[in-house]
Amino acid sequence: MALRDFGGQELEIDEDGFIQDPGQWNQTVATVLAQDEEVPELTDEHWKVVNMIREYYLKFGIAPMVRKVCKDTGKDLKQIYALFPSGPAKGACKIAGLPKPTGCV
Amino acid sequence: MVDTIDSRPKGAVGEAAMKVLDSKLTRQMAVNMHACVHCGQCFESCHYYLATRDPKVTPAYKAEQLRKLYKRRHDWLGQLAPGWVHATQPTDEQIAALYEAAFGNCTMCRRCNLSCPMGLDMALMMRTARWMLTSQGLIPPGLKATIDTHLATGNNMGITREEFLETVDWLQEELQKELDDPDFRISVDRPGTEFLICLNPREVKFYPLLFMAQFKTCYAAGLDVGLSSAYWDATNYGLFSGDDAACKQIVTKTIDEAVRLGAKTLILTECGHGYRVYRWEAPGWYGKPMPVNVISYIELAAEQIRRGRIKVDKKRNTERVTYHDPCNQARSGGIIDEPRYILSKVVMDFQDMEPHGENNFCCGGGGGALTMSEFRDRRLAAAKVKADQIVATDAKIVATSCHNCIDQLSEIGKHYKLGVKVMNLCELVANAIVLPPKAVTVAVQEIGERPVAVDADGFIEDTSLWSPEAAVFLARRQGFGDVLERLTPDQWRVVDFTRAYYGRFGVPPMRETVCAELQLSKRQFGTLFPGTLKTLYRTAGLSREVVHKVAAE
Repeated sequence: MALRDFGGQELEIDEDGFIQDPGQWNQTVATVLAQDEEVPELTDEHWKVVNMIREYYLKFGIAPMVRKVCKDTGKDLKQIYALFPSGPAKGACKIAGLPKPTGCV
Repeated sequence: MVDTIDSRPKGAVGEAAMKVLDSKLTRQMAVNMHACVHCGQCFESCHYYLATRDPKVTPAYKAEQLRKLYKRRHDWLGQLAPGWVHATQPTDEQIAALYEAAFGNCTMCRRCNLSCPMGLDMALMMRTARWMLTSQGLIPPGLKATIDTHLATGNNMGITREEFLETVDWLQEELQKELDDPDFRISVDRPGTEFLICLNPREVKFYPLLFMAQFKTCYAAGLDVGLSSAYWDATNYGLFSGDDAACKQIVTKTIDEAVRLGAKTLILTECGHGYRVYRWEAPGWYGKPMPVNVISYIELAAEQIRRGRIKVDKKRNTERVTYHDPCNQARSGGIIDEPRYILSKVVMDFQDMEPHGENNFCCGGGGGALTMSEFRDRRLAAAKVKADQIVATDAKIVATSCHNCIDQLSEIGKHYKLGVKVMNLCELVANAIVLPPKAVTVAVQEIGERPVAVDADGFIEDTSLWSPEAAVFLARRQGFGDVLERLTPDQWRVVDFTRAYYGRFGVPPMRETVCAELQLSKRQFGTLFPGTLKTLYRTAGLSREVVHKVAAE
């Protein structure tokens, strides 16, 4: 584990860059994490996905299925992959402040 | 909180871990413990060593961390003169060194096995070491969480049955659109399913395009495939923690489910360790003769292409592709020729990396390394070997067939700035598939026949009453037998063109025009619509007056 500076706020991250305490997440954190995931700028379209994932996580304690993401944001798969080049797990979920998912990720 | 040796009471782990080693001492393990001649042949085979030149990551050194413990306990010289043969008590320091070697510095890729003149199995030793540690609670937390989730929920991402079914329904709809076949179904829990597909949870949760690619392949080949909604996960991370009980529990549930559904064959998705587990390791854990065949999606796709059941067009994948052999599938699984055969058929420009096949280097993500964030820096450092291999091919796409490899290769691409795209093999296959016009034929055959009034020459009397159903009637009654008994897709193309042409220009097209526009030879045209041009005009619902006017001109 290491500490990383997110615009004045120091947070613990794992070696893959996922923040450890989702409660500490805010928009600045998301903006900084986005830089690592080939998302130079978070547009409204990005925020729509990020906010949906975050709300889902806060409610259910787990990352949503990409099916759910598509359904709730009205986007198709190709749009999601285009918005987050490193994918829904390492891209969108990480930016939304979720911990690293289990499995082959 | 990470459970480490330092968080335990001093000396609490060693003896218990040694008892686990005792219980795993098969003849094969004993040979591994005794037969190393310290020749150093294994050094250059290990990607950790090649990338770092650190002697502490050589296979011999890593194995020595286990041998030291073995010798002190089981070897007479190790007991009599431990210092002489480097025998060691299971102190906390030595247990920590074993943890470093087994989890932190080895992906159990088995490449060093090939270079060992004594034929020792490094992965067997490291897997045993991992279980000595795991059984005492010393296991990387990400790896533990993945296994725990699998045991608790039936898949390693904790996907519920409802979520699974919802995703399957959604992908069925997407595939109906892509295949242009509203009758396409993904059958779930259907008794008598011949081929049962096991997926990687990540395909269901995050990467459904891969799920779709595999079903598209099976659809193109006309195979009877389906899914279980209960046990469909191809992975088994017990292979990586050394936990045989977990392995057994997982494979037994999946295989029993296949038996319950009456499946003959399990198709393993593109999953390196999953294939190895079900094809080569499961018979040992299942404890009974295997009641199902196990094949990989890659074997299936290669076979179906070879038999001509799937038509592919390599011109759809034009960029240079190289292929990374997943260790568990190639070196430990024997799938080496099949991906190359597939690539020779589905891409224009394939360039193998060197070395490849059974000699290929691990990408660095093997052995569950992707779940161990704490060793990320080492994982990426050791991947320098793989990065160099990729660069040498000058490929734009790195294809592989394992989800751990995929993520590691993507990270390598980013870390070493390779500018390559990483793809699953099934994506390239799906992209190249040319679907047979089966779906269209089915739709056409469903068009029933509707009689309409005709004049003495067989032309429709009221052209406004023409419909596809009327066309079937108008065609059949002309007396050409089988040829016009049912309209084929090719015949419909001609009919549709003729009507569109007439609608636009007010005159029917001549034979030459039809042939030129639809790229038909005169002979082909004659086969589709025998007799004179009138055969076509009658079918297309043109009026006698229009046709005769043309004839008069």
